[in-house]
Amino acid sequence: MKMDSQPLDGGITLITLDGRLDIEGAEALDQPFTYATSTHPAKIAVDLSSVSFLASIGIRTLLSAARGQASRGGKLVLFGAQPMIRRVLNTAGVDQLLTLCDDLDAARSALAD
Amino acid sequence: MHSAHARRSLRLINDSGAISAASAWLRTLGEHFELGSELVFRLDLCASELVANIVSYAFDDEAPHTIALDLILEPQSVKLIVADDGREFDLLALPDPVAPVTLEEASLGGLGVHLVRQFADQVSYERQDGRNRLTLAWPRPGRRDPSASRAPVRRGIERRRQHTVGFPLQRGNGSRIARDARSGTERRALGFISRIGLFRDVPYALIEGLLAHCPQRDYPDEYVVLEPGVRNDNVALVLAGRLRVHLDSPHGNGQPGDYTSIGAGECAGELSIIDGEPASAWVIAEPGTRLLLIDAHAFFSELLPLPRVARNLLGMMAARMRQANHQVIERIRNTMLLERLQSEMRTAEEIQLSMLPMRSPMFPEHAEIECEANIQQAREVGGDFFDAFFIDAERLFIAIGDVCGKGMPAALLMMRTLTTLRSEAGRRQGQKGHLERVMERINRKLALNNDSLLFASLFIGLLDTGNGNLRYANAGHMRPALLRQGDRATLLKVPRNPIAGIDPSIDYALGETRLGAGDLLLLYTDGVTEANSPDSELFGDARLLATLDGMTERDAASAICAVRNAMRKFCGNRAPADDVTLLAVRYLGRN
Repeated sequence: MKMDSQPLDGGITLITLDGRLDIEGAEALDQPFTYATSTHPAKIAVDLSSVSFLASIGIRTLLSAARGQASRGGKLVLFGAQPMIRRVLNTAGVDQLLTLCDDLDAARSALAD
Repeated sequence: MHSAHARRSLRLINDSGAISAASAWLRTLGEHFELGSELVFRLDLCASELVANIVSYAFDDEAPHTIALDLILEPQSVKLIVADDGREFDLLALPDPVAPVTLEEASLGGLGVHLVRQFADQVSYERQDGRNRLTLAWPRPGRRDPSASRAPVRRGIERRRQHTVGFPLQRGNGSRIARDARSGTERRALGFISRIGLFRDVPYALIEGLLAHCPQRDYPDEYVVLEPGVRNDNVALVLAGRLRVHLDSPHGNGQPGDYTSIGAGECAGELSIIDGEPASAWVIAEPGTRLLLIDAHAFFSELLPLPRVARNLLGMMAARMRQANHQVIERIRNTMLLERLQSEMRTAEEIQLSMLPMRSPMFPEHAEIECEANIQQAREVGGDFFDAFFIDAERLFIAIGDVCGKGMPAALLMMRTLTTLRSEAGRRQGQKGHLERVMERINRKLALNNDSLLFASLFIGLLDTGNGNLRYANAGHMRPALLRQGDRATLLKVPRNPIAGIDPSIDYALGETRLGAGDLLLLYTDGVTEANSPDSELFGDARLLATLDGMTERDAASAICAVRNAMRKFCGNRAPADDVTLLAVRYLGRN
């Protein structure tokens, strides 16, 4: 699991995840992702297009980051999930809790709201 | 490859590494059997969630447990069976989680189970023999019609499938092949080869020329393809059938856990090719095994330079290494458990033996008696015991007994009996009914705290060394042998009372006799009289008495020696099946 973070215009932080969000991926991601998403209020777009696998432990990672942002007055949206990843997110009910966007443009406008 | 029927098994230890190992295993098999990326995702997700659940919640103890995964491929279906011996857990019985409305109240409990139920097409659960067994099933993605499959087919495979070979062919080096000279079987085999793990995503044209020249061989059943120490010059690709890899000699009893299997589409021998060492295991061909042999030179000079092949090989070896690591960890854990158990047994044995008075002679300061004892334990921890000590200046307390059963519970009961014996024998001595009270108290203590229903036979006696008076009580023990000076050996007359530990209310009756100068009393356990000859004959009372009669020296040490020698002769060189304990007391009298 690799994580990359870069600032975009409009005060948006783009976090790109690459790899499997399984137990190992979630462990690898734990510190850097929590640090990048929970330390200060921000507008964060998480690019899931290179995430090839997602299990409940990975959902936990995503949700706790989103929860951290929400409690600080920031916002976190997900975008670009592959069809099976999207299906896991929907099955888990994450689509009810977070904004899932198709692409970065949609994520930008969701964060601009 | 696309096998109509196949079964693969994985056994994991319930640690956190199990989740990734199960996942890696399924992904490897999924690619290998071309199950398609969607089904592999579903298998991977379900297995990850189930194994994570088992590791976290199924077991209350710290001991290692095995989680069994079996992947079963049938023409129309794919099944994954996950079994464990943890607490009963039927995920079908759980209610669906309530969808959280806000982020703040989202709880993730039960999410894994919910995902499994949604991503498996069919789920069935059974609890049998203390094991959970969960079977997940999916329809098998079609092979001939990739569009019917729900899985997006990987591009590499797609391209190969659409590619029909037309002759004449042009090889990579520019030479031409005018027509297909291979037999139908070989052609099919080569088509199959192009889809095995090692050649995944490798353009067929790159390997076709090489593979067409590698020999394909059929092997007779149980043929030893490789054995340790033998130099290996080929990488063998399994085209059909199965190879078994044994680390220990395969000629022992074939326990399922003793070997690993290499199925069709997998390869063997690549390790010894790579490091140049001789083979490290036995590789045995199962019925109907057909191998394609790639010699070391071709493997290194033509196959490994292809980047995709090298990467596939590393992937396969990594998967194999992960599995091997798990097996090693399991073995180490089992060995450590066994060692701990053995060391506990040794400690128990040491404590037990240290409780018995193992000196010879036992009471050199008492010239009026001889006392000798010997114990030979059959297994590490036995149930026989004896004791001899003076309760005052003149009176010698003797005891011999046998706790029924073996091992740790028997050893503990024996220690408890001995301790009780010593404390009771020393209390209110000399008063009327002393010996009866000792026996009754031991009986009551054993009977009242006897959860594991262990019993003890016990003979106790009190010898007044001033006058030779012997009083004794017996709880179901063997009658001691009495060898009076100038007479033949007989069995001592004892009151009949049941063994100790059954009924707390028994009153024990006393026997009494007087030993004359030179008389010998031999106490023993049933390990003596019930010793077996090679013809399964019993040593018996008569042989014991005859042995005593045959002695030239009638002292205590000689009596023990004589009986032991007679038993050794009678039993041949076989180790005794039960503990053998002897305690000899000879009264010499005051001169």
